[in-house]
Parts: sequence; structure tokens; C-alpha cells
Amino acid sequence: MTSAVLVPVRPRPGSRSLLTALLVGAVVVSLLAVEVEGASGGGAAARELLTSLVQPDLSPGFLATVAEAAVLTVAYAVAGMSVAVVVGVPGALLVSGVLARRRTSRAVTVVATRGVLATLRAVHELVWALLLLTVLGLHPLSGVLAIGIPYGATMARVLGDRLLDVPRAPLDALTAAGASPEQLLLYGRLPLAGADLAGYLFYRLECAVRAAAVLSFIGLGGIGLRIEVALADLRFDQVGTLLLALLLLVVAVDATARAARARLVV
Amino acid sequence: MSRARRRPAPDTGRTVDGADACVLDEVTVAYGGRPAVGPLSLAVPTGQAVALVGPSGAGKTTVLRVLAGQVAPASGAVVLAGQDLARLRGRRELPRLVGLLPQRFDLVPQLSVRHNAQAGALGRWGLLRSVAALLLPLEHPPAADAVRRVGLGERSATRVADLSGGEQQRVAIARLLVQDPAVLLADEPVASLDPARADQLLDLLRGMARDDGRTLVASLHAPELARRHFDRVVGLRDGRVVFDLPPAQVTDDVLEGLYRLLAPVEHRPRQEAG
Repeated sequence: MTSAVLVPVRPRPGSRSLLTALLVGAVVVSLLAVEVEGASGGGAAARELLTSLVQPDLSPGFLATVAEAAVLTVAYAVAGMSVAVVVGVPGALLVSGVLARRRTSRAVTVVATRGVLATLRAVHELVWALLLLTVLGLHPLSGVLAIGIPYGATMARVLGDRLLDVPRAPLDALTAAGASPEQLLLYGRLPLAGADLAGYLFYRLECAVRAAAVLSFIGLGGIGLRIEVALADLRFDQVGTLLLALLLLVVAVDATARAARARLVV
Repeated sequence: MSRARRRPAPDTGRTVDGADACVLDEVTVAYGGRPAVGPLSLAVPTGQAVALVGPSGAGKTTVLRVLAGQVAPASGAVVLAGQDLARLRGRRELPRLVGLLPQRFDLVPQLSVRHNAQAGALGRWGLLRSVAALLLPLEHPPAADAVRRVGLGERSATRVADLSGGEQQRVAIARLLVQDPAVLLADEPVASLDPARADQLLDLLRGMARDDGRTLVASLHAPELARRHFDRVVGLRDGRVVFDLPPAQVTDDVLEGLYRLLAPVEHRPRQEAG
């Protein structure tokens, strides 16, 4: 038809270099904004902390305390993730609009849910914890909801994207066979996104374990609280034990995730 | 079992032109403002097996997708079992009237052979039944039949991702059997098969059409297969019908005219921008 000569594609010159300059500028400004001076003088403490990490307190009495704290931390993480799933799965279905039958109703639910989710997500779990402490007091529910609400909102966003970001052709074939949006979700979107979804859920469980440890600093019990106490007592050997316990927990979640993924797919 | 079964006919009472399963009437299709197909007219009587042949870009796939209701014609009408396709699109009876075996089989690789085949019944199933069929170890007899019929009875629990290309195609055929359309469309069904398997597959498709009284329209790149397996061969070029003949009359001369790189007869200026 027309000529088959290949012509190199040239990006529009202006916009690209402007963007680069803006990004480089942002990095430089943020580097200058962070004060580096005045943070020195911790050399001795750092050395003591490092040596104690390789000589953790392994006395049976303390190990029992650590185990109890670890169980509590995992309990908070799992309970928080359960709340997150309860928030996140319906949220994902609404924000992706995969079940909507009409274009207008889809647009309305997608925009409305996106706004609600963005609001919930904008607040960090630590801030949620402080807010909930004010409302509910020092109750375990404060910790569980502090993880569950922002994690659920993030999960809705990510799961929703995964449900939309699946190959189009199999979905078209199912639609041609007469599948409704719900059937399309069950027989198409969910299995097509399957491995991704499971992997993401386990990654978030790992994040929840870390978040639960941090949240326990505010007095809810768990590994974080124990670290705070040990630091206050200058028992760096106990801090070492607790950090190792946290590491073990994260590794255990990761190993479980791998095993589950291997059984699930591939 | 289900031999010689007449489907509960999708109301053919209003059929204007007797026993035509599908009719294209002066259909044109445009992609991005450029005419791709037509004007093209074609009437296929119920039970006939029609092969569409022609060079790449002749519009074979587009014609099939128009018949399947996946591409809306720019002008002209498509009539399936006496009903206007424009009014059937999105309706639940459409899957019973027409079903397309796509060139790439468009299965869900993570699901088993059985579940992919069952998906052909989704148009007839409610939500509860769909969930039960997916999660419980239940067998849907028509799906089990279809899987056996395409020769995958032993592998019905295998994930489709673990099958070869040829086996995946047979899963797609099983899904189409479960969907149970009156008109079977197949887009290049033998494109990736060796000659022996190609014959075998076309026998299978012909059998599906003949035994159950279905109509078959398939596009083929190999005209000798079209001559051997079909009742009627339609040559397409530049989106128009060049010839429409019984297989015995499709001579080498006719084919040469169809595939020659510069068509002396059908050459016509294209309206293109620029």
C-alpha cells in the first residue's frame, strides 16, 4: 500500500525533558530538606546494640514471654487481615465495576467507591490506631480495626485492578457463550487472576505482621510493646531476641505463602 | 443418545426465506472508517457445511465474527433462524443460535478441562448452579459427553494450561458442543494442525454438524481441505464473494484466480486517506 520504509520514532522533545527536570528537581529538594546534622553521637549505643543482636537473651523465662508476644502479634495480624478481606473483597467488586450491568450505574459506583477507598487509605494504620484508641479505648478491637480498615481499602484497590487486568479474549468467549457478569467473575476473572490474587493476599499478611508489631507500641501488647520495654530497660540482648522473633514470623509467613502458591497453581 | 435430536427450534416460524440458518444481506463492515468487508450477501441453508477460502486479509474472520454477533455491520442485515441479529445481540438466546470456535481458543488456562467445557452452559445456568458446578465435584452430563466426544475423557480433571495446543482446541470444541448452537462457526480450525490431524478435526466438526442437524461455516486457508470436507466453497477476496461453488467445480484455475497476488478481475481502487 503505502511506502514500507521504517522511520525512527522521535518522542516529542519538550514534554519529556521537562518531566525529567521536574523529577530530578524533586529529588534534590527532598534531599536538602532532610536535616542530616545533629544525628551523630550514637556510635557507642549502636555498637552495643549490634553486639547484643548476636548474643540474644535465650533464657527460658524470657523465651516464654517472647512466644506469647509473637502469638499475640500474629493474632492481631490475622484478625486484621480478616477484617481487611471483609472490607476489601466487596470493595474490589464495587470499585472495579465488574458486576455492573449498565454503563451509568457502573460509572456511579466506581467513582463513589473510589472516593471512599481513597479516604480510608489516605490515613496510615498507625494514625487509625490512635484515632480508634480515642474512640474505643485500649481494646484489642482498636488494633484489629486499625489494620483492617486501611488494609481493606488498599486491598479493594489492588484486587479491583487485578480483576480488570486479565486477558480479554477468554472473557469475550465466555460472554459469547452467554455468561452473566457474575458468571464471568467466577469462570473468567477470578481464575485468570488467581495466582496473582493469592500472592498478593499473602504479601499483605506479611505486611500485617509487621504492622501489628508496630501497633503494639501504643500499648496493645505484642512484640512491639516488648521491644519498647526492653529498650527502656537497656536490655539490648532482649531486643535482639525480639527482633529475631519478628524475623522468624515474617519468614514463616513467606514460607507458608510459597507452599500455598505451589499447591494453588503452576 | 442425543443422535438425530432436533433442538427445540428457536422459533423458525417467522423465517422469511424458508430453511436458511443464516443470511448475510448486503453486509458491509468498516474498521476505523476504512471499508473491510462487503457489500457481501450469503445465505446458508440449515444443515449445510460451507467453507470460506481466500487469501489473508480477505475478510474471512470478519465475516465469521459478524455472523457470531461480535462485530456489528456498518450496513446491511444479518438474519439468524429468521431473526434479525441486531435485535438478538446481548440476549440469552443468542448462544443457542450461533457459536464461534475462535482461532486462538480463548480458554481459561487455570481451570480444568471439565470446567472449561461446562462454561458453554453458563447462558442456561443460574448463578447458584454455576457456583455449585465450579466448587463441588459435580459432573454435568452434557459436558462429560462433550469431553468424551472430543477424545479427552481421560483428562477431564487436567488443567487446560497443561494440555498441548491441539488438545486445547478440542476443549474449545467441547465447550461449543455444550453451548449447543444451531450454527457452528470455526475460524481457521486447522491452521496449526498437521494434515492427518486436520482431516481428523474436520471430520469431527462435520460429524457435530451432521449428527445434530447443525449448520457449519468455517474459514480455511487450505482449499483442498475445503473441497474434500464441505458441501459448498465460497471464495472471498477483498471482502467480497469471488466465487460460490460446489466443491467439484472448484478447479485449480478458479483457485489460482483467487490467490493470485495481483487480481486482474477484481482489482478496484481503494479509497484511502493520503
